[in-house]
Amino acid sequence: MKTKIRELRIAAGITQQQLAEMVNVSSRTIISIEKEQYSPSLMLAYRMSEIFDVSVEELCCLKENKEMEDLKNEKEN
Amino acid sequence: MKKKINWGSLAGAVVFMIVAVVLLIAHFFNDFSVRITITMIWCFVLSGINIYKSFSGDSILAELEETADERDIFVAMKSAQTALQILSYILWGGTSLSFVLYGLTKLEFFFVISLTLAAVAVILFFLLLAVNSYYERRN
Repeated sequence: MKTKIRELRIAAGITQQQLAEMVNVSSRTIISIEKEQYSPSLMLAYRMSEIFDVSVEELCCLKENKEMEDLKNEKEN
Repeated sequence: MKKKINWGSLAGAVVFMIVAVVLLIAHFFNDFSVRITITMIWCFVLSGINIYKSFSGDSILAELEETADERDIFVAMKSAQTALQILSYILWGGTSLSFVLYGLTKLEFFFVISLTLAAVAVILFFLLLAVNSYYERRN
């Protein structure tokens, strides 16, 4: 799933390790999320949205991801 | 903090203990057999390890719960699912292959392998059904 975590993290000037410690996960989890290999749980997304002071919807690009999913579903059907 | 009993390990310990006792009894009623003796000792050892594990709480799951984050748990679940799928393919593949070999060679050996693998595959399937039904009700 596409997210804005990488750009928000860089803008805030924090490292992947620091962000990982702030939300109590491993840095590998942050790396995987940024590489779009793993989708964070709702609670993890909420924790990160609080750190970056944005909504979960914005952090996880929910509108964009939903449109992409709808398009994919349309193509499959 | 009160330690949790790992019921899975405890059940394993009981099963290994029963097998070990049965082998011990068999030992007395039959001639000395190295195979039975080694199996019996091995069962006692496994039973002991499982008893220790069931009360020490250092099972893989307990360890995972304490140290892992959500991605680690996701990876562990995905790995287990894939491993189960591969095992299932191996079992059914082995069953078919040994059945074909039995058809070609008429050797009883291949028929026994085929039946054994099929039995394990069927047990695995029903186990999967039972676990699935359990989680369907609980989650």
